[in-house]
Amino acid sequence: MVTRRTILQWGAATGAGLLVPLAYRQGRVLASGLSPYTKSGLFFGYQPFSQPLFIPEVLTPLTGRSRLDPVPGAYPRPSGISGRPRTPTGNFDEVSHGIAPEFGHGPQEWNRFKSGFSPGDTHEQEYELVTEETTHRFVPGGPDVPVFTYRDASKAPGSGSTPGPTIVAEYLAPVVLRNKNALTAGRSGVNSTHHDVETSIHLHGAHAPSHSDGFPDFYVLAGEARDYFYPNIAPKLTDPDTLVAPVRGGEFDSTWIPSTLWYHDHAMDITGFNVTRGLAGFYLVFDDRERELAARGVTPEIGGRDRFDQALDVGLAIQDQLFNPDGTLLYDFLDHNGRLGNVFTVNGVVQPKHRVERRKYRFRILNASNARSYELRLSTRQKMCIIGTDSWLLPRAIEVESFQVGHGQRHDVIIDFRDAPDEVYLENILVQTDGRGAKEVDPSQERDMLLRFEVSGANSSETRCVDGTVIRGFKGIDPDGQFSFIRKEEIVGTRDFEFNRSLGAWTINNRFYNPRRSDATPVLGRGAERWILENNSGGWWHPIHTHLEGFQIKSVNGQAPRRERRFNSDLVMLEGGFVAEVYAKFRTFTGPFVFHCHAIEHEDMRMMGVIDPTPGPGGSTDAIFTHAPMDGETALDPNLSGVVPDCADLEREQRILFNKVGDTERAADRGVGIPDCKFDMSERGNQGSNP
Amino acid sequence: MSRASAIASAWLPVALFCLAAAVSSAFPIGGETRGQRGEMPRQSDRFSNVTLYTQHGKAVHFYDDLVKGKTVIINLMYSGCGEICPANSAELASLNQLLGQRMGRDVTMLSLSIDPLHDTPQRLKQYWEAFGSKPGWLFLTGSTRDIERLRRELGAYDLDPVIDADPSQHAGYITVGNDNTNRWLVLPLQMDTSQLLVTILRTSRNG
Ligand SMILES: [Cu+2]
Repeated sequence: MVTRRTILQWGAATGAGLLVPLAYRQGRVLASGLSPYTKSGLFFGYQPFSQPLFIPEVLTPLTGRSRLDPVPGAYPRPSGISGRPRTPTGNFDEVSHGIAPEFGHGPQEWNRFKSGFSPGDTHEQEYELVTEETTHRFVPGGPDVPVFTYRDASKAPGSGSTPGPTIVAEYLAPVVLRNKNALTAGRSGVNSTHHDVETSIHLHGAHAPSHSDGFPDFYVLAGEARDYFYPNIAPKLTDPDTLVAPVRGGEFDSTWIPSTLWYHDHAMDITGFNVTRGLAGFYLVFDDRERELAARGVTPEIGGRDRFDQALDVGLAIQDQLFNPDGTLLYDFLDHNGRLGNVFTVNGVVQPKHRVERRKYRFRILNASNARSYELRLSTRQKMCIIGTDSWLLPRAIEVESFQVGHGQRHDVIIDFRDAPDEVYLENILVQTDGRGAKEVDPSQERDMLLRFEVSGANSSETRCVDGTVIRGFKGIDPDGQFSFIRKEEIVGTRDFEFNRSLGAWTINNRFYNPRRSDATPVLGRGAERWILENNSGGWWHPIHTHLEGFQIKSVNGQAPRRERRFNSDLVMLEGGFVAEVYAKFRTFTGPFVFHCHAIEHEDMRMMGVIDPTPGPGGSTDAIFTHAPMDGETALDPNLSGVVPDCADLEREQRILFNKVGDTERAADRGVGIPDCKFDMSERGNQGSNP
Repeated sequence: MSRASAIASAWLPVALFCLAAAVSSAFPIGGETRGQRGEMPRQSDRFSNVTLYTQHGKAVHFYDDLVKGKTVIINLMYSGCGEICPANSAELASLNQLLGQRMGRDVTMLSLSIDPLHDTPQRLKQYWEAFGSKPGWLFLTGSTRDIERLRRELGAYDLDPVIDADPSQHAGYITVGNDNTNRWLVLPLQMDTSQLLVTILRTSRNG
């Protein structure tokens, strides 16, 4: 038994822990004076706000002869488009991870431009990105730092940026994004990690098929390719009488027309490292309402149907970073709490400046940090006009002096500089000192200055975005209103999820993520569900995110959430001890999808669960509960979920024999997941040699 | 706010952070093998090369003898631990069984006692035998000071001092690392066994 003395001893050691200097192995001494900071505290001598904001380029769609070859879904496969992907071959052009079965089987109305999106296009807009390593300067004159980037495949190797290129899509215009992962151990391009790095792209906020959703172990293996199919649709509306949303036919639910999305890595076990190293970018969707808002002068003008003016519509990805003494990115794989940075970057550069005129701008503010939340305001205390939260526009604009943006969340705001002084800072007033969560809002603090706007020019007289300005509008209230709340009468059941900390790890209902187990199996397209999300993990903050569909936050701790968070969200911040009640629908696509904590180190420690919407019975709620119990868990249905059916099949057809080092990995790494195979090496021989 | 004060206050965080960085986040650079710009420092650079003792009574250096160039599964335990440790040691024993001949060859298990005052090599040997005397599985003890240092270097601490003082709170997960590829991760031991296994195998890959 542990004696009281032992415990006391532990307590004492803990208190002194932070004061004990780090000890290193013999012969390894920290070179004196080696630090990324100069004596005056500057990061590589960088004077804050002296470098311009970096704005990623807009990704160019492939046209004419540069279109994808082989065409999406037509590359060689064992059994056609719906066949299982092959065992990875290391040949990019095989697209061995395949394309979603929904591609090509999607209904006609998924593409509003049936006659072609642009000349030569008959179906989808195509893009190609290569995931590779390149170097990046966080400050001018600073070191060239290895980062991972998504690079436009038509551009020269090494020319990628972080954030990656901005993808601009059109509502109901399908996109196929081919992604090649060049992060191999020496088989393609530069990779200073010297080992194969798995990736998986999640389009955060998208309503897309499971195969294309960046499910954690639906990898893009190093040296392999995957076609991501993004239909850019909203889910179909639910019939008010039957509560059933048709998978085909019927109208789109305009409440959920997507707007500000972002794509980022989601590879199981290594997401934190990959995102820290730069794998993130914006994905914006435009529709008729967006153009109408611009025409009305609520948002800045946009140029043309599928373009937007990057000078007036600016994505701001905020990320706190940590560096080694030599200026390379520091990633501590064993920091379980969450990686909290000490240098603020916006769009990959340290504390930039940005020139603006005395007019209105749209900023898509994304918190791309692993573990830090922000309460953002302008140094002038001028109000910002929020027109969207997370992936969707609000029904009506909301003006605030400051707003909280949790890790992974987005706020789409209009800032009008017409009366602004020459300098305006974007600043954070939320104090956070460790990965656990923020401490408090300190309105007096002026420490976390993220970005300086340098304002010039004469006042322009434009329409103002003010509190109550109609954006999507309320359906049935505003002319052409598009937004509806999910009604209480639509709820067919309640699920409870408790987010906890136990034995040094984070749990959801006392369980850890298993990609082959469904933790919530809603009936596809049937009514809505009420989810109670409860954080009982002490002071830890957990931003909870759902894939496939967003949700509407009804209450936080029994009260209405902040005004701007009462509409659509894909992420709810559960501060320590918080309970949130949200309504969600699960439509169009069968799973698996994940829901998880967006504190990425928690996510990598398996603080995730699986949502697997499956077709089920209509009729009474009893029948639904029998089909998909609210409190239970079910094995994923492999026929519906695109999971390889069984292990014998894997061994026989895919020639994956679990008898030597490397083979099991190949099975697990096929990128479509594997079922619960018996990997007993003693039974299976295990006679192979170590390669 | 004036321009001057804005700049001054903007500098302040960096100055403050400078101290924090020196204490908590500096990996040592340089030494014999690394220091080239662009090479990622190794996670194992922060491990102390302390002397530990195996259940067989052999003195070993933590880094040089146990981690260097290997794939390791590290957990914290103590033989007097009530329920958590035996359950997790049983899980490790079954993983050991599943890994078969890879054990000791491709993968080593290191169970580090966080109650070294009571966990003598003899006692740990009894514990190892109680869980089947599996191959490639070392139980380790050492001085309280060295073990405490390793515990922190492994990130096995809780920010809440009350929870941190309860040793059973550090016994719930494994740290899996491949020192060749510098790939490390932490997995709760109560996860699905197949999932644990697949991830261990993926991590143990060379190159
Ligand atoms: Cu969390």
